[in-house]
Amino acid sequence: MYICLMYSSELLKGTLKTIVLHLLKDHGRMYGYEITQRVKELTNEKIQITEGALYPLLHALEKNEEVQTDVEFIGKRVRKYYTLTPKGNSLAAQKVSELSDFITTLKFLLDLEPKIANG
Amino acid sequence: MVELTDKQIDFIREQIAANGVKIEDLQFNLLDHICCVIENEMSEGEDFKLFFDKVFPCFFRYHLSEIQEETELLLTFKHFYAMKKTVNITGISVVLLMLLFTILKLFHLPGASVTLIVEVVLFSFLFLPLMIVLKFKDDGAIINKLVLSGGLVLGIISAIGILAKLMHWPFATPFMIIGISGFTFVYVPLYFFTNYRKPELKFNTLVNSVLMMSVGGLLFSLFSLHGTRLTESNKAVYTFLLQESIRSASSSTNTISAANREKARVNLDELQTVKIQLLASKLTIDKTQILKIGEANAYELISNDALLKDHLNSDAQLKLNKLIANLETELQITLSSTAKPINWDGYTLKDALQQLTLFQIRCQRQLNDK
Repeated sequence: MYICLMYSSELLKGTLKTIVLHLLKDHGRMYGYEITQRVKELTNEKIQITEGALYPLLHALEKNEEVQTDVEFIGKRVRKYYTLTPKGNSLAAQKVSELSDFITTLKFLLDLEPKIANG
Repeated sequence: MVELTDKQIDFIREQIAANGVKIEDLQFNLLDHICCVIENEMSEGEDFKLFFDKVFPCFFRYHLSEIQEETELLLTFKHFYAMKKTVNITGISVVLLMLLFTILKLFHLPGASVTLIVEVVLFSFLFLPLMIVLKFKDDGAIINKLVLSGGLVLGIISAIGILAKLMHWPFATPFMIIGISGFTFVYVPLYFFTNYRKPELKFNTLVNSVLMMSVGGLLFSLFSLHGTRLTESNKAVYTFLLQESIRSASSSTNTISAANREKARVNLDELQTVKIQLLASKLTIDKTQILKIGEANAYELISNDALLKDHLNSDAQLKLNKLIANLETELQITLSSTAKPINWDGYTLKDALQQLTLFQIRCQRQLNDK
């Protein structure tokens, strides 16, 4: 799997699904190129999702009924737009919450930010 | 923003298909994506072909088909995970069932056969086939996968053969011979030569090969390859039949009294009982089970070198000889070529049963003749 370029792929592996789900939750209907460009813009080119990572994931999400697709004809080619299903919506919320909690824990573990202990 | 012509779009589609992407949906995705990249990044007046050749390699690491491979992997990942889980559960179940079967068999408790059948079916038709499928999904040389899969297939055949043998089902012996011999003399050498070359696997390969060859060889040595003995037995039967047919042609036509006929019928029933008892004694099962599986099938299960004297003590031998002597008197025929009682000591169980059966036929024929 190859999300590149600024961060190592080990760091970004496993977060791509969360990134894509969250993006679709926020922006509704998107197509593949649009997703890659949006991530590139929002992260100042620090994260650039490659096609080899994105499209297999989108196909897997579609198979699991977490996204649904609709098709538009742009001249001779076909453009597939992706939207979250209700199942995908709740998965997006769950994944973001999980990752957020993980980041908070990591920050504490690596002494990046003091954490107030849970009572 | 540049607008691509239909011809350029067709060219891109052909390139995608030619580079190994066969899934249609994925082709559409990539086509649209590549077109968007070119439309947004190519300058007006720039050569399309040159720009495409520059940009196309950015879509993959080694080859475009890796996108399709990654897609297929993610699509089947759920199945892969389910298969692995099934292999684990099946493996544990097979072991537990084997333990249960051992306990049931040792204590002669009911349900042993059913347990054995379920265990072998799970092992042969679920566990091993799934192992083959999972092996093919692993990374590694195709030759190793093929060799291991061949070994697993031979394992399946052997397991079915052993089950068939235990359950007295047909085709047991061919399955066992093919499975165990194939495993020992084909798979093990192949396994050895495909793995021994790798330095990190050398020691393990040697140890595994020795273990597998030893176990397979021991199992193979249990096979009874008594072709020559079978030929001798058949020859003895044929010789006996020839002698009897000569004797029948020259036998007298004395009539048999009604009283003798009646006694002969009773003695023939007694003779049949003795035969069944011999079969039951050798197979260590009771007489009702002999009748259930059939006398001929029970006969077939006896090994060719089983001796009659091991199942017929001296008293029983005397009794059998007396029974035969009575029938000979009552029906005016003889079992052996001499008038003396047979010394059964040197007879195999199979030979003795054949002799007694032929004698039964002759007695029955005498009884039926008017």
